[in-house]
Amino acid sequence: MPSRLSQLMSRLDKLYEYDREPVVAAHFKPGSQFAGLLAGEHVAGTEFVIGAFFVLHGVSFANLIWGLLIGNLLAVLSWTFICAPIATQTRLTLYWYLQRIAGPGLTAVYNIMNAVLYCILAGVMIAVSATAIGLALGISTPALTDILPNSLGWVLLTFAIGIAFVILAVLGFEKLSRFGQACSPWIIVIFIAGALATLPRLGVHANFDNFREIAETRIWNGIASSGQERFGLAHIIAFAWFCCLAMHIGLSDMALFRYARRWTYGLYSAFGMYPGHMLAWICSGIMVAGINRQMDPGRMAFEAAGIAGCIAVVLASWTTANPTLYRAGLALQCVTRDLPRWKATVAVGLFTTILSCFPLIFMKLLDYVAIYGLVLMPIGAIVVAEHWLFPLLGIEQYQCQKRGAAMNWRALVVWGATLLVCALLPIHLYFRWLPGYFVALVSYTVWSRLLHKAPGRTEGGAA
Amino acid sequence: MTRTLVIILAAVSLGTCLAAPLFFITGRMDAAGYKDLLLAATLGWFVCAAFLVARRKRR
Repeated sequence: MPSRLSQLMSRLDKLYEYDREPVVAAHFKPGSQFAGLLAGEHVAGTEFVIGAFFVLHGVSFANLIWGLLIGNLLAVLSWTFICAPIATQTRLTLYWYLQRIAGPGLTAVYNIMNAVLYCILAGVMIAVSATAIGLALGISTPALTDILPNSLGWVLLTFAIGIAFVILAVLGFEKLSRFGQACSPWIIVIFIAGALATLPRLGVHANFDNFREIAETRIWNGIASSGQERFGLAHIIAFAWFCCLAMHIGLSDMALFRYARRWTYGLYSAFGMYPGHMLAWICSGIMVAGINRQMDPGRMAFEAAGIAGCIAVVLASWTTANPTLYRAGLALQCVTRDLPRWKATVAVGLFTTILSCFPLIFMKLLDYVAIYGLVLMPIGAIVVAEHWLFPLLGIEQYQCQKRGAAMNWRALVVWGATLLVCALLPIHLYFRWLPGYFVALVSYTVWSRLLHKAPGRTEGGAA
Repeated sequence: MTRTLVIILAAVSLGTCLAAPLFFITGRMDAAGYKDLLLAATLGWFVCAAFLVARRKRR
């Protein structure tokens, strides 16, 4: 067993070999690069769905604006005061820092879980693309309440798109991937153009003098669609905050901010949150109101921006799904013995494609985003405890690494227990992560402090 | 020189993408014309972006 684990870790380590050493000052990046990267990174195919869902959930105009302003601000502050400082102090990716804190075993578990969660997200991207391509082929999008595929055409379409995405990921079309990234300014512009062109259909005058009135009565009118829960200000604040939970509180963006000159570069995340998320969600909300609140991203984009809109839906989805499938394929390759990368990517892609056939995954996207962040959040709390609280309380840091343990069992138990507590909390799914974060932070710190006071007790599971 | 020209063309394409819906809102263009202009500007952007990406790679 230990030999298999060491083989697995050796493969994973090779995968991240390039990132093993802390970033040196010569490789620090200027703030403008962070602004551009973050603005582009946060406009994906899912934005067509999220903003539209806010309308379907009966959010009022005032709640939407205030909720997005506050929630995105909280997200920016999370990057600035939690993620960026740890990244600039360690200059490491989460992968390597977690190895020191939680051992290679837990890092492997984290990586695999991350890959599976990412696959589901890629499945959503395939389904969103299918709504755009299906429009040209006359294949109808499943209804909001559908769980299973509504037609053979939908299944065949998602499979065809899934296979196309997988082929591109297998071939590792680096140039195409870079081209996709370069398209992000155009995607933002298509969101704006589509929303602007939808306004006359909703009754907005050319001088925009009645925009607020239309926004409050015909777009974000506070009336939820049939079968949808009504969202208030707290829901929007919480969603905007946790939408990227895995990246800021969950610390996966340490990979990015380790290149920052200062921790204050975390503030550049505002370029991703305001011109990115907030603008795109408002635009997609306007576009869905233009098609009588039907959750059909492809039709929504086509009605608002024609063929260019459909291209935007497919491109925005593919640019997110492609690196996801590629990374998940690499992760699977690491945990299997001698499986070629292309086979691993095909296996991951097949799993993702099968998921994408089920409308449930994109019709419940908001809940999935909440679960995705929630599952990975305890790891962020454990790292914060070890990085900042341990030195303050005089607890020895990186005990796992110093003792050569394969697995930090305390961290694993805290992770699992936190998720159990979150599952049992009698509050809305969107609000569970915050108490869960403190449960993980406090329980890991207190447990470590108690063990620290008892000499002779060591971590279990030596490699 | 060529790169600068392509960057300018890319910016013009993006600007056209933004201007097209404004022409439509203000009634200077019908819906079909707006969508055609948006598509043409989109193609312009793709050509420029592809050129710039290929050029960056060569460097």
